[in-house]
Amino acid sequence: MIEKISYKDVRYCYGDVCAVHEATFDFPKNAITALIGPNGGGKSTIVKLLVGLLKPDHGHVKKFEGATIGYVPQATTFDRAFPATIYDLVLMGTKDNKITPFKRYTKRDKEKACEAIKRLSLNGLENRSINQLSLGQLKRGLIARAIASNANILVLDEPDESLDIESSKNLYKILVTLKKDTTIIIVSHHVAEILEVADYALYVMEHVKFYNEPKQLQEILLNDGIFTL
Amino acid sequence: MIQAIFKYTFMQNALLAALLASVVAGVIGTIVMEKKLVSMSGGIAHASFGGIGFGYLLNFEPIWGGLFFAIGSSLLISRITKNGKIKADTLTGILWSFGMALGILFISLTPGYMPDMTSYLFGDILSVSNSSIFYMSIFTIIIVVLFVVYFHSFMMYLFDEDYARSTGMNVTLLEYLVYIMIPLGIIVLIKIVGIILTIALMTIPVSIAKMLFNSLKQVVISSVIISTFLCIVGIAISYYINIPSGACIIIFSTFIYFITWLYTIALKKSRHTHKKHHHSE
Repeated sequence: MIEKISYKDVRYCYGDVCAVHEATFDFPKNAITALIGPNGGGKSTIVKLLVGLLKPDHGHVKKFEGATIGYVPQATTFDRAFPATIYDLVLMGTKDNKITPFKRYTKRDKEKACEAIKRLSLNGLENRSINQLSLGQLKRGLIARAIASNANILVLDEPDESLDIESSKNLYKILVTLKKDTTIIIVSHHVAEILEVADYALYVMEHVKFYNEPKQLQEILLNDGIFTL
Repeated sequence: MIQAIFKYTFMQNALLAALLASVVAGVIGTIVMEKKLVSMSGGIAHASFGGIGFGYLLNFEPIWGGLFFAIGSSLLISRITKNGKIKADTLTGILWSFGMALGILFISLTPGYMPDMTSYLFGDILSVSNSSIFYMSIFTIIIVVLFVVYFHSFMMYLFDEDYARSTGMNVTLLEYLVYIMIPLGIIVLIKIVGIILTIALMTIPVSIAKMLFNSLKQVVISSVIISTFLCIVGIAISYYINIPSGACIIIFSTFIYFITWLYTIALKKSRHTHKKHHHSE
């Protein structure tokens, strides 16, 4: 039985431009893996291939048995004018993906949603319309939805994009508490902060390089002057 | 007018048709607005004119031809634009005018005198027959039953399709359902306000509801009620001052839309000043 998510010879191209070239690497189970790299380097593509929004042109992505994915996209995939409250948003995560008639939320679902809301410190905002949230609150709402889904793989595409350093660090703390039974894959531009908490790192710039020690990547990037602490 | 309702079947049919159309406007309108399919729906409505003309030419009930063309163009737009090579917007524009052109062609080829097409183009709620009420009811029931039974899945799909897909939900199935429900709804609306004005009835009641409510369920239910109100008042106005009912409904609806808009702006302002007062105290 595989205890990881593995990419084998994966290639994906948008027309003539290939975002991912014959990439082979693994995401270890129940750990935090950070995806670092410049914009347009292919991070989001790798993530979308994992969650199934894109299908590889070549090669394959294999998940471990019983894998269920909670995806937190970059906030713009939906219209914020949609009539829903933050509670509705998180509650939507609690149900499975089957299209079955007369689906109703049970008491357990509602408890799960409240729990997730609390974990992301959104309590008190439950009945606020998603239109009236700050971007940071909305991101936390999306993570709460993913957590409420009981997913064992959490895929986060720049969840800290609009958060200040302090809120980002709080968010990472929450992620660390989740990783004992959750595989966490996070795309981030807060390089120094995310590499502090990550167990593994992936440097993505057209080609993919896997680092067992995030510190190692941090040093390379520092030496190259790519980012400063 | 109340006496006329009791006295004349056509008035009873008009009210029943208005109610059916309002249910459709609430449900399909919400789907169309949230999925940003307003212009596509306009295209489908106009494409149906080709089928209506075809019905006249071959001497069968024109509305069935319209339904066939509407579903055909809806599925065509959804499938062909799927791979992104042709933009939905472009194909919508093409089918929009192609359908109208075909309609005109078929009608001009129809032997005998030229049929009066204004009731299809602008709607004529006062001439709704019993058989029309029958098919409108069937379509409305199909739409409502599907939407209510699969409400949860529709909500996920309408809100965040990418997320729904990432959970492994069969989004394609919902897409097919939606692309069949929309043309069914459009055919119901055509009878009331006509091809040209269907978009208004799909967008205005939902837009008003969205200004007032912040949950999907509330928006759907309230837009059905708002639409019923708009249609009935529109019919009443057209009955008394003797102008076409479809136009009357739309003009009145647009008027109410702006009133609501101004009301929500005023409400925000008064809340704002109230807060200020509160702070300064």
